[in-house]
Amino acid sequence: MATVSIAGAPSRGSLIIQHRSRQFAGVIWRLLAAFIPVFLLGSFFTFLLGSISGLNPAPLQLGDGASLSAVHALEQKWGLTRPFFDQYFTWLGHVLSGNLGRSWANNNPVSTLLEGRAIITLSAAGLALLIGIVFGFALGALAAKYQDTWVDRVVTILSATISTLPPFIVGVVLIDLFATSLHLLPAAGYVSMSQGFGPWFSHIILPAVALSFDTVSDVARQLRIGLVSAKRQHYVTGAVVRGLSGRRVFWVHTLRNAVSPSIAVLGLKFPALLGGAVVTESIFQLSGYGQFATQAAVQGDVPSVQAVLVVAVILVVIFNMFVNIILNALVPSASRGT
Amino acid sequence: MLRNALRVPSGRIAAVLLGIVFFLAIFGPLLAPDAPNTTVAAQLQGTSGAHLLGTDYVGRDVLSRMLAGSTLSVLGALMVVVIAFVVGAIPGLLSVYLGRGFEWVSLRVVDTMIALPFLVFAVAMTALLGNGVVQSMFAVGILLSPVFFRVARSSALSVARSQYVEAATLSGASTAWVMRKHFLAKVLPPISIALSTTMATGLVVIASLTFLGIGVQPPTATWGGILAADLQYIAIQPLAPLVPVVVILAAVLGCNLFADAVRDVSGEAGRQLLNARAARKAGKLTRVPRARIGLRKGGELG
Amino acid sequence: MVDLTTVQDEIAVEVHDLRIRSTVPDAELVHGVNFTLRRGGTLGIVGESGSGKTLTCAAVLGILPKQVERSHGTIEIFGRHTAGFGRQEWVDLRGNVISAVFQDPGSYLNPSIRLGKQINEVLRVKKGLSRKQAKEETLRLLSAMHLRHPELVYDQYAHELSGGMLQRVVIAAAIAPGPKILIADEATTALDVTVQAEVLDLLTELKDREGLSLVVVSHDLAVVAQICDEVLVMRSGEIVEYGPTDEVLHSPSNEYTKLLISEHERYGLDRIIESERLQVA
Repeated sequence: MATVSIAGAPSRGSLIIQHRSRQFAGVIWRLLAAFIPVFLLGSFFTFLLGSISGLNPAPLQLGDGASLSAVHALEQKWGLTRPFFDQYFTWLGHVLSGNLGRSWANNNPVSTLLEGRAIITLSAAGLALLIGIVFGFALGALAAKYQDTWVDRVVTILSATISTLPPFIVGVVLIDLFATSLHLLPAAGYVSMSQGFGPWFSHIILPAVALSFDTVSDVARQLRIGLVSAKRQHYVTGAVVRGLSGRRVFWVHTLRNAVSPSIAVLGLKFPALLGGAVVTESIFQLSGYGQFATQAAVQGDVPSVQAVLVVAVILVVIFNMFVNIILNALVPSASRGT
Repeated sequence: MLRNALRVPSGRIAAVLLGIVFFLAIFGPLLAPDAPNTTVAAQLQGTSGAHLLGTDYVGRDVLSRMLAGSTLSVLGALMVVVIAFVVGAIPGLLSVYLGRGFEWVSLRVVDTMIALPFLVFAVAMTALLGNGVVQSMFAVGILLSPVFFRVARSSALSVARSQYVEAATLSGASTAWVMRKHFLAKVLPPISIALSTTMATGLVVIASLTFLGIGVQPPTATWGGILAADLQYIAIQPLAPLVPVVVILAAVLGCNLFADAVRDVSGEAGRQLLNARAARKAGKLTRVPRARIGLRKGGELG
Repeated sequence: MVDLTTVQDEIAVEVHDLRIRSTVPDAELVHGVNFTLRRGGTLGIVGESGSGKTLTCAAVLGILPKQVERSHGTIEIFGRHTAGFGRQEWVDLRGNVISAVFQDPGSYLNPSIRLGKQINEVLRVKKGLSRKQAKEETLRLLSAMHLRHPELVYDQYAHELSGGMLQRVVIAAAIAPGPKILIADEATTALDVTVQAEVLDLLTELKDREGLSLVVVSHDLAVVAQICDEVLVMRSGEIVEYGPTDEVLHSPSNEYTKLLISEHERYGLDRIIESERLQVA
């Protein structure tokens, strides 16, 4: 590669590399700047909630009718009499190093309690995400391709209707339909993958579908919008005029620029998926994360609840950062101009 | 604006649905043929003359329970909306007028709230703070407030920058007068939309919480609670869960359709739509004209 | 792939009585256009917005927008009638035989893909080059466009370059597969005067070196006067003047043409004459 070097100046190649890495670092910085406050605020709110609740381990560990001094001694043992910010920062430090505290209900480390359950919830949410992406894309692309025809209208109305259906209602209807009436799929329970893909799938598919509706609808709508607008752009004409085939123009040029709104919307949908898991797990009797949260909340097991909430916050933050990185790789011009 | 919303079909359907829902909420308990919490007949009966919707697993009349439950479910959602509005709109307005510091902090808080998986937080908040109805409404209301924050903020921003304010302030009017007069006109549509969609979400969330048994204890009747019970006995009465499902859906649909109707009739596009419909009714046009791209692009096809 | 090498190579494009109309609303936009472009010749099309010049080119390229269609007449490219062309035939024709560059070149490049990759794509798809060969050829093309740092440009995105540089990149992408006909539709509008001149020189160079047949479309008579052998003047969808450049410029027969020329004498042609004089000096 021919490089002209002016004495002392870096070669053109390394200039490019420096420029690119600076851009990348800029992107990462911006992401951190956006998400660190979210994490801090979220964790603070979580911890505050626990403190405000005024709950203490006594009912769970000592039972009712414990003497005041016993309660007080217990509180001290759990460090609950220390000043608020003292407790907060200790807790935050623990969280960041992986220690999620101990459950008041059974003294076990919360992280152990959550381990197995996380897989279950993430399976359902993950599959729901996958369904959302695949079907959302398919529907959105369909609507855009047949823009303004009856296909477009049907898909639009369909996705609008779907988005109003809350996951737990869909779940109930699905159970009624597939499990009770048609006896096609099991109504409840979870079977881990180690027992075979089939059983796992048949147990997880209904909850995942119930969770996915909202995502399918939003992804479809955003993709349709993105495609309709991208199709009109000049660079599509440019590619066509250079003699590239219709398929290539669509997949390499149009789609690449059209997907960003739909990918961005995934980031917004993820919290909804996690939230929806709470109810869906109850309907389908999956002993996941959401069910754990509900139980712990009802029991008044503050550390467990706090742990669940803060993990949820972390998951959302990580997922969103991931989505942002993908977006940046697809459409780098999004990072310019800031 | 309300009159306009009623002119579009979605608005009319919404009005009907919402009318029914609110009617049930207010008069439901009075109309119940039986007491909702007492056993009146054999368990898990199907529909019959005496019990139009059958009986549940304890032997209570389902219809009565549904009617009784409407009040809690609907009014609960309404409270949620009110709380969300107050908690969201006030900081939203203030964020425009109170300076950069407050603005930055409130924006960050709102961003965080949007990012959180909110059903999980709703459950946690309600349960930890005493597991009562009031707590649940407050919890959900607070969690749903970001929408109103944004609407209030954007309305305040658009009005603050508009020329009405400049002109009025120049002519010596007080800020309060300015706010009142021009603010309302511009702001009603987006707020109405936010109110209806939040109502829809509120209905769903309250139903979810009561479904989980959070915030309301049995034997109090709520739509969500009834659904939860029905689920247990779905093998025996497969159609039973559909009752609360349909009712909840109808209420949610009503709210969303109302929001759509308001969206369709407001703003410039809305005015065009209404004019076109009026003209069509009067026989002047054969179809509603839509803006076509194509030839209007100027230099491209020149 | 369709083999077009054995066809006539005297006449590149022959348009006969071309009429174009829109379907919604129903109106005729181009009312019978006739012209011939010889192999290696340069045809200029001059007209204001709405004259139908861009529509005519779109018809030749087969990229008329949705509600616009050819209602009458023939277009022959190297002797082949394009009226009945299916999608695949157009794909084979474009790039390999005929290509185009437009105004605002940056917008005709994909903003999310590096420029080198976009030219590579054309080479690999249309000429079957390997990745390595394509890269070498792209760099060669870029330097043939007189871009000073081809390796840098190769790695950049469209939004990082100036208009003039972008137009060169677009031209490189257009001629990469070796077309015999290039349509430049307002390709120099919105570029600085000096850059304009450079791009026009580049086009002339390509014509001389590769035997490219050029169609240069512009509202600016000066641009056309600089490099075209023949000029077509269009107005409201019709041809009002057609002939060799010298004749049209110095003894126009149509009133409209005379108007264009007199306006340009005041604002445009002087600059061309001036810069020509400077070049000679």
